[in-house]
Amino acid sequence: MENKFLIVDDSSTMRRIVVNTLKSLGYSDYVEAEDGKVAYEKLTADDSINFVITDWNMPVMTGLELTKAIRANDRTKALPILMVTTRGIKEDIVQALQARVNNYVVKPFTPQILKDKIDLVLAN
Amino acid sequence: MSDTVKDLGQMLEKLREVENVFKYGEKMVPVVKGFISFMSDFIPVIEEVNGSIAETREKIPEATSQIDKVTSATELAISEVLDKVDDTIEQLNGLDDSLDEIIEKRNRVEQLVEVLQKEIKGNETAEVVLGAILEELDLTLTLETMKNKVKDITSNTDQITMSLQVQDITSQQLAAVNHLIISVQHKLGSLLSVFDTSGKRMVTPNLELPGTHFDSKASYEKPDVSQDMVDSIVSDEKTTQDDIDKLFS
Repeated sequence: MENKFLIVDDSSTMRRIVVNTLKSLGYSDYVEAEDGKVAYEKLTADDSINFVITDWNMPVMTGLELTKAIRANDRTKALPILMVTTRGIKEDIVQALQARVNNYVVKPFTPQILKDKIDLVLAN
Repeated sequence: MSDTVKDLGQMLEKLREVENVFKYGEKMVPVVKGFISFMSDFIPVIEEVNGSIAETREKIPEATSQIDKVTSATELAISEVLDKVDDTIEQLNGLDDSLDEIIEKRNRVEQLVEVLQKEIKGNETAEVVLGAILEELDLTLTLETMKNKVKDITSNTDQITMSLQVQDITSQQLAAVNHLIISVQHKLGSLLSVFDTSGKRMVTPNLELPGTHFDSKASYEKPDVSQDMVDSIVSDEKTTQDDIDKLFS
């Protein structure tokens, strides 16, 4: 099945960089959201989304809250989630893992790092 | 009789105490005068401070607006740079494909040359001419160099893409500064209301305090170093979780 990505970030620059990386990996099916709330609405309305790449710090609903909401919903709880954020301290990373993100990338990242993490999450 | 004397003694004692109070009061008069003089000098200073606070506070909305404009302008500029990066990547991909086609053609030519070499074996002139042609057409080194150049430029565009993420990081830092400035505006507003007892000063309303949807510690560091640390933590945490899961399985 073709992967459909949901890219969640309040920065249009970051969304674009993630989209470009996905395109270079051969993935062209994606939707974007500027905060966790919009993302969750899109996710619950679209069954075909099967991978979430989310920022942490966003207005309205953070990436961590989005992760918890996804994991609390029976339909979406198994979705792979990759957290991409500027927050690089151990406590934050552990907190995200406890919320059950599948992997974690710290900004700024090279396209190669993002590619590797997407591959890793998909492989698992 | 003895009671009257005792009462008079007590009265005298109280009078001495009163006298002491007056003496102390006399000593305090210069201090009080000094304090009044100090307050007389200090009130204009307070007025000036009050005026400065009000003036500073009035400038804050403009400062925060400027910061927002910087963020928007930078985002727009980065978007234009990303457009160019996209174009460059597309052209590089096209160039790489073209080089692959040339390499394939060269391989086919090499096969044809082998056939031709067999056909002209013994014809010295033809062999010399073919040798000269092959020397002129030897593109192996050039093609490899070009492929490597394409690879280098692609790697550079990846580096540019990574560097452009600084915009997201600085915008978070600016958002943190904005939040701080607006908090200061609120505090200054409270101070003004304390100083301005007349209530005559026109105070502009407080700006709305934005949400803390930013990482105030966001920083632009060498990414590989940070990511290595993250990977190590992710790995450790996963091991721990696996160990926990084993206990319950």
